[in-house]
Amino acid sequence: MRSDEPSTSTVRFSRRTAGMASIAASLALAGLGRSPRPAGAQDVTIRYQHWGSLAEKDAITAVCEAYMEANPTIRIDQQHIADTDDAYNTRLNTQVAAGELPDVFQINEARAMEWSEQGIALDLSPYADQYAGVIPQAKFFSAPGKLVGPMTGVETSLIFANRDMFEQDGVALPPTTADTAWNWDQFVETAKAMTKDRSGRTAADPEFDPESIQQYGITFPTWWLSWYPLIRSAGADLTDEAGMTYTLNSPEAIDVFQKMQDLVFVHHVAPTPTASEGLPASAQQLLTRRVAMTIDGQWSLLDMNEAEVPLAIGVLPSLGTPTTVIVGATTVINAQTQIVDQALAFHTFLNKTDQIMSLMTSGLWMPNETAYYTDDALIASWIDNDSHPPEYRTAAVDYVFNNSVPGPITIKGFPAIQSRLNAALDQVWDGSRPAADVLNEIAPEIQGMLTGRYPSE
Amino acid sequence: MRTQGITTPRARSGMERMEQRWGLLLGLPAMLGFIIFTIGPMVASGWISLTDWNIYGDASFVGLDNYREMLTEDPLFFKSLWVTLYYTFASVPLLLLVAFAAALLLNADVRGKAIFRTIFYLPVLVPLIANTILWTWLFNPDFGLFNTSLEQLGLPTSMWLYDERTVIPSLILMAVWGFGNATVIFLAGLQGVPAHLYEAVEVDGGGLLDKLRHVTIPMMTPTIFFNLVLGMIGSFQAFAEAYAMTNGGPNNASLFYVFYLYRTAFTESRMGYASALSWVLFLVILLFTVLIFRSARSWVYYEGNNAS
Repeated sequence: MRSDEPSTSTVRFSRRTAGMASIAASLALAGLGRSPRPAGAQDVTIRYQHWGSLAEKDAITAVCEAYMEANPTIRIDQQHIADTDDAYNTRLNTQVAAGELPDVFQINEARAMEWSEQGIALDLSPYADQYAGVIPQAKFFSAPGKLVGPMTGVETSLIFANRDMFEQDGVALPPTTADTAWNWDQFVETAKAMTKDRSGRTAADPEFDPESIQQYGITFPTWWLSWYPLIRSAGADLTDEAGMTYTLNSPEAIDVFQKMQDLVFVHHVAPTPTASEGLPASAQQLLTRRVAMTIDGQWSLLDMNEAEVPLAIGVLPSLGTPTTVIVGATTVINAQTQIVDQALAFHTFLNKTDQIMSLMTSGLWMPNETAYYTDDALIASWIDNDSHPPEYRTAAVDYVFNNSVPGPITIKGFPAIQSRLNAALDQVWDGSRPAADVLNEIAPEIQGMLTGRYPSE
Repeated sequence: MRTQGITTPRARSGMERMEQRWGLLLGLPAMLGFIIFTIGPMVASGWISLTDWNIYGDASFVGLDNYREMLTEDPLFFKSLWVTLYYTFASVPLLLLVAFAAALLLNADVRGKAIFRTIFYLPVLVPLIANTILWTWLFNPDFGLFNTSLEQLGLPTSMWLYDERTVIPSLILMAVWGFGNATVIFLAGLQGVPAHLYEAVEVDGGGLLDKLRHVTIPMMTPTIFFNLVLGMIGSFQAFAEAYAMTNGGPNNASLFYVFYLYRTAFTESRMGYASALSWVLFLVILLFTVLIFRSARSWVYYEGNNAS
């Protein structure tokens, strides 16, 4: 950047001046905070980045537009990435390297804690009172008291079922309250009743032909959304409390993984889990009647509704204590942002349930504020609509509030641990080795990666 | 450029100098592009590979530590190198064989030649990612076309992409399906085989096999060589298959080197180590390219160039 030569055009000069003016203006505005701005003040643009399906994008666009309407001097530059977790992370990484991070951005929770430690994500502890209403399990901390952010939308793991298929066969739908959750045998029995070969025999029939299955009873994803609540329900965990000792090879944990493997290779009620991830989304699987039940995240409700699946939801089977997980990515503020106050105002807005009600009523997110799980009127405000089936109150709202544990993401270095663990678990999912062998074999390697756990407050 | 001897200084300052200048000027975009977008990043990555840069924070110089870690502590480095070599050395020869056979058939004088050529080339036009998704569905062990067909024929089925032993062969099958590009290059080569050589074989009483063995194959060696080098470099850099289909699984059995490199850089944010990985890949490809070029002296025949 050499100094301007006299010959350079005035265009460049004026553009640069404008640039400086806008920085100066935003600095000035940052100083003013949320107080009314003088007429003709420069608009501030907040770059906001998030991921999700196209339906999610539309829901969030509506929220951004409402925000701009209420705040005429703010422009939200919404950047939606319709891609996998991996690709989104790649984008964030390159943005950090290039110094181009957006002002406010969604980020997966494990990475968010690392970025808070690195000082890339703004420490929100000074503004903690803005987030006082958030459910305690839905807040992330990278160090004691150092608030990374609340879960942007709360999610959980549920059973989704095609109601019509169950009713036609006269099979009882999945239980809808935590205390009536199936035990494992009841769950397998139902899955068998809903699995059929081409001649229409169910998997419970001795004549059943596992080589020509037409319809599967259950599918489940291979990431921790499916297995983590089950092992927690059985009293096992990935590590000990401190996050220093690997415990996934405890007899209880091994038993859970073996049971899941048996669903595919012994009972023949589930398709190969790794292979079904390459198939169309679970909504299509239920709709086309290839599958009767699926374990999936609460967010699928939106896509299920769009696809008009005749839907029933239920709680996960219990292996001891009825348990699900509370899951959710977070949204953080770029620590380098020039417009902290505006970014903060927008961030708080994104975390006020009543301001973003359309994201709840559509079925995409669950609120992150306690009151929306405890106050009947407030609960009704987000679940009394066509997107939420009648059993939602007990099977999702009460279930997540009373029976959920946080995911394993508070273990330090979880992204790398997960990458190793998933590779090893492939051998469980493809049926090539018993769960015990795999979980014992990977023990030294995972043990070597453990360095502790992030605090919960 | 070696013409100074016969040109006078005056002549050089005229036409030739102008041509030289124009030549340079017109070549500049390509040269600048190469320097800025290829050489520049290469030099930078060479430097980064000597640091522990992880995107955030400051990088510190660690010397050859990344390379040492790779060779002594990283089982995934060897795993990914092995996977890539296996894939390369199985898929490239197979693809060349199929493409060559197809080119021979398409070169024959049959009716509807143009249509056949189009059909064989068609798979190449399917965008890579669309292609991978399509094949993922074909390979699905429970619902996919392959297993359903095999079942109906009463043949044993396979886990295809979802078994450590069959994942690479499955991907090779998919790679070979895209032989159209190599076929087109072979076809172009076949057009250049002089007809009089075939006539000579006929005069000597040789049949089809003799023509193939003594004329077609020797005359085609430069084209085979070209396809071999391109195919090898391409498959050393295999990425999309792992990225879009297998995520490197099961149990890292399809962890292609470039995919591992990508994961190290962008999932684990270890830019220093990833740069070191990319330099090693560069050296490995260089090594094999040099070996192939060396070996070419003994089997590639250029017409009118007896010395080679």
